[in-house]
Amino acid sequence: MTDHLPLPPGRVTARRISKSFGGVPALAGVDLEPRPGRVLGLLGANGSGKSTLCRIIAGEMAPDGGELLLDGEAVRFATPKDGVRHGIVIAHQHPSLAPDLPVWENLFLGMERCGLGGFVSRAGSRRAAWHMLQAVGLDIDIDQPVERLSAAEQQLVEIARALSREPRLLILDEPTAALSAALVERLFAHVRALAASGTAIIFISHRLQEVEALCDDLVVLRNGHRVGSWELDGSLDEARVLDLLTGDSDVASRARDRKPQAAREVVLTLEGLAAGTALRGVDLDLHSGEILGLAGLQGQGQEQLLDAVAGFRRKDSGRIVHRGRALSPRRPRDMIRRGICLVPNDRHRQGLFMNETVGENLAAVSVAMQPQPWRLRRRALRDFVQRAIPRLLIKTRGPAQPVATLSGGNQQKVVIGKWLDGSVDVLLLSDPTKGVDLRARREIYDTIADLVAGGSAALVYASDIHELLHHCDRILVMFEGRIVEALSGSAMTEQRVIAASFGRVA
Amino acid sequence: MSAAGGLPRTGSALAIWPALRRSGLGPGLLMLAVVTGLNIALQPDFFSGASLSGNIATFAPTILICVAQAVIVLSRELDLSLGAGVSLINCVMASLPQDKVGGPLGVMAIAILVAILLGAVNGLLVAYAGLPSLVATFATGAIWFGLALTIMPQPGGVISDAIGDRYAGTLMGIPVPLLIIAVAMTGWAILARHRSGRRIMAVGSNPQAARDAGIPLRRTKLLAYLVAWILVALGAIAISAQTLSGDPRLGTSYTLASVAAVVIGGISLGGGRGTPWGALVGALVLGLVTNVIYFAGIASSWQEFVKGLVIVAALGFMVLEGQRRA
Amino acid sequence: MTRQLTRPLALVGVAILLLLVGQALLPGFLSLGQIGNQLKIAAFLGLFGLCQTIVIAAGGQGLDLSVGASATLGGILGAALMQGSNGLTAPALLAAVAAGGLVGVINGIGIALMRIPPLVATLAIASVVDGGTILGVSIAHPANSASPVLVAIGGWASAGVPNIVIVWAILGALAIWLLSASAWGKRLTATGANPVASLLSGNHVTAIRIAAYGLSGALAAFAGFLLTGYVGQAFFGLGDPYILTSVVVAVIGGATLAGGRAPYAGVAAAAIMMTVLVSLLTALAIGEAGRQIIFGLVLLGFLALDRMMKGSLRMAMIGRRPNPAPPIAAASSAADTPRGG
Repeated sequence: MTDHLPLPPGRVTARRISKSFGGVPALAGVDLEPRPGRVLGLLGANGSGKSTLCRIIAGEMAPDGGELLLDGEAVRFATPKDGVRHGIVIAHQHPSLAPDLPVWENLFLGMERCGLGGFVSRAGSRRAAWHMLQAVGLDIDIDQPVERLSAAEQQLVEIARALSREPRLLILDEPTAALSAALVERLFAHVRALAASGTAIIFISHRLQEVEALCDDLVVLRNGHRVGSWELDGSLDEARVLDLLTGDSDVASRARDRKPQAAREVVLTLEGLAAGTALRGVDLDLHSGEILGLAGLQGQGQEQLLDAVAGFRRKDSGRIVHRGRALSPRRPRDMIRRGICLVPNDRHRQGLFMNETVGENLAAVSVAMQPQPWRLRRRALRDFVQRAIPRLLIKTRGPAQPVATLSGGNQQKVVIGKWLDGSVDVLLLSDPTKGVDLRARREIYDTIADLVAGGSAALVYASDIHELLHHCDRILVMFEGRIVEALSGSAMTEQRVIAASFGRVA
Repeated sequence: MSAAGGLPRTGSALAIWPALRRSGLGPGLLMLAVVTGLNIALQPDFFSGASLSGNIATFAPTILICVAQAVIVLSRELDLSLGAGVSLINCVMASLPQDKVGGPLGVMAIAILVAILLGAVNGLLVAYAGLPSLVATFATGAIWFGLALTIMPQPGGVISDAIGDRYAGTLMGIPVPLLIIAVAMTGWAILARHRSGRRIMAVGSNPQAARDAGIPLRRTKLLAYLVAWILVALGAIAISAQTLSGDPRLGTSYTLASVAAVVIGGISLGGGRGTPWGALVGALVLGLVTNVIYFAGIASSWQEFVKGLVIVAALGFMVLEGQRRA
Repeated sequence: MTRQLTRPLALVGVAILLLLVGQALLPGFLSLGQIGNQLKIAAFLGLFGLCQTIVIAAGGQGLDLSVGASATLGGILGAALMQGSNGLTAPALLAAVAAGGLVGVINGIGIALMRIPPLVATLAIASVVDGGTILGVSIAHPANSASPVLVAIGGWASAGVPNIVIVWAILGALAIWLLSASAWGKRLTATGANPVASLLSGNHVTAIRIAAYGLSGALAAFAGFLLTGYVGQAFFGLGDPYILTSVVVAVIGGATLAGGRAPYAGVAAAAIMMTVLVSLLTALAIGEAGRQIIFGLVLLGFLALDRMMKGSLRMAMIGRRPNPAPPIAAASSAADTPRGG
């Protein structure tokens, strides 16, 4: 990576790119001119067209209109490989790796280092792979299959691969979503060095602090239009960005009105809950009317904790006590019966039936849990769906719209909405706003707040600390499968949460 | 620098067991050991030259066809037309005027050409037309069977003795069937070190990632089918060399045997995981099980039942081992 | 709603077209008696197609290749128990269906609990069941003829309509209701479409899948029992011709192996269409060879049609990649997959 000569100066420019899916415009004539040697921040709510734009620039998707210019000349990419050939490389938000192949082979996927006659040069590849990974701070066995790596490690492999392709334009699509703060810092140092050597970089993130720290230029997209762009000089006018992103500048400023935790009854108690290697003994009390946040670095057992409470992961030891009764769930159904509901981490794989309509998805739980399997209470289901859509502010043409055509935030609302037909007593949410725009984020927490106001409780894990600080009554910080810190009231500060996330308890 | 990483280790030749576990070959090998043991117990002259070479001659077609299936399964597809394809190739061979097409070599060359054609049709339908391989190859299997019946409505025809003699003979002291298997496996070993072979694995493991990485998905899948069908041709030639006549139903049982062997060999039907060596092991297990049933003098009415039970037991064993690995 | 009916209507249309072509080529092909005969054959194919529809809908590359073995078992066991007597027909029917159901449940346990791929599991079980049936017959030498009542149900007609067709119509209507208008049907298709989301929505995924295979086995045995009546006696290999043809009609009828759809109306129509096609080919003196080839070509044609329709549908509806979460996410969690079920 470090020993290559920079490509001759080349400029990739996207001009008036438009793209629509099934008549719905995703991009309406967007220009983008990433400049060599600078990092361009691309901001936008979900569904604003960021990823589509990047995929088009990288040659993974063909635009409906507009053109890509390379040093002023129009080019057409038939395949992603054409993009790579012209030095345009993308690191995807979701790592695009072959799980069964060893790490080193994944680094050269599609670009194998070959010797005579197309035979893969093993020794050379492995040595190069090791250096590539060292560069991004990843120190792992390069012979193990990629599927053994954690999400963060997979993300770094994806990034290392992109970096190694000696790009003249590097696109990083939410590269930091799975990374810890230390790794993010290391990645940023690397990206800056790459920019200094003359590479143009497009950086997509939902985290404004990261954009502020890294980017030289900024482009804001909304609904497929470019609504703002300016040069950054080390600081970001957050109010202006939020205004452009949502047309609503106080979107983030409405903090939860915390009520004192006076003699509230305990809804859920965990005692020494352990499951697998990730969850090593957790004690907590969840009170009625409370939104309890789980913080910590990614992968400290938060997801496993929620899965275990939901009956989706078998516990090895410890007790789960719900309203005075100890439970050993065998499957989620056992917990759903008691009103303990999980909004899972991966909404596409775990939360939604992507080929179905909004209405079918909203009704899924009611259909699954109703006592008589031979009946379908069509009218009751229809009424519920008709009520749920406005209650959750789901932006949809109606219950018959395919759920796959909704934006990420609205899909997440559907996942939450399917629980609202029954009585929810404990709502477990695993990173509910991942990849969700700011407005939808607020609306989702409003729904949670409404729900707990009625006497139930919510346990929320979120990767974004600010979100938890903003919306939770208390915060528990997890580290290596245990809770290391409980914060409430004035002790709930970013500093305390971050310190505890690294295992440092005040 | 933690202990886990360090400088790249060159793959240690002694680290066989972890590699076996990773490849899922462990249970298959264990089963192979058990059935071999039973075979030896029942057939005391198991290790005699005649018995060994007889066994290899019998198993070779199965092995080749199972390895063919493995190559396709590794690319995350399936081929249910292998058996009918074997029949069709066999019927073509038996209906050729043996002398006018250049003798045994000519017949074999035509067999290979036919196989490549069949593989190309399957590969084009699956990779380029995007049809689901399970059903599409079932459909082409019906067509191959129909064509075989058209060529040869009844078993018959003649395949030149020269092919049979050559198959039963030795070359440089090595039995020819063993040599064919060795050539086939070496061929795979070479391919697996080549960019194209690695790409078959990558496509099977995660087609989307492979596509994003610029690997030509369609061409790679087509390649897997073509490679597999060359192996099928070898298998068809091997079995024709033993029967020396044509039979439109000759290959029927190979389709399902090949799928079973793939599973026993620890190759994931989800693609990308395992190696064709597993299919070889699986094919040997299936062949030896048949031997055991035969030599144990089990009454014919019991044979089907016992064979079924063995396969079920093998499956259960695979599953338990698989769960332990997880 | 319209989309759900297009395919069955189109298939019935093709069947009628084939009948007309047959009449044009071979006068008498379109006689009432002929149509009755063809419906009888279609009824059996349709019953076996129902088995596949259910297990394919359950997802996970669902297939039941043990329907032939279950049908043979149902026929032979039924005939053995009824011993040609009308009075013993009903208990024999119950025993046969129960035996088939048991085979199916064992399939389901292998597939849903032990996670063996359905193709492999049902084949393996089929070989055991077939082997066991041969063994049982060779030991017990049981009676093998159908009782007069069963012959009447399987082969005769009431008021011009073959009894077996009436049975099929009733069962088919029940199946359409169960699969598309009951909560269980919704649970089944949800489980097929996305088992994890289904589990997390409160479905007992394992139980649903086992039930699907159990139902398939029971239906196959029932069909085998009726087949004994149609043929007059039970014999080994009774159900074998239906193993793969049932998959074919399910696919032509609109079931997709990815799971999540249970279009039985289409499958029933496909059974009729295929039966007419086969009988037309037979009547035209096209032998087994030609039939196989045409059979394969028709199946390929329907697959291509499906593919084209799905392609245009996806373009119209979704556009972006429907599932941005790559399989690696699934694979990476496979090492410590949450248990439950």
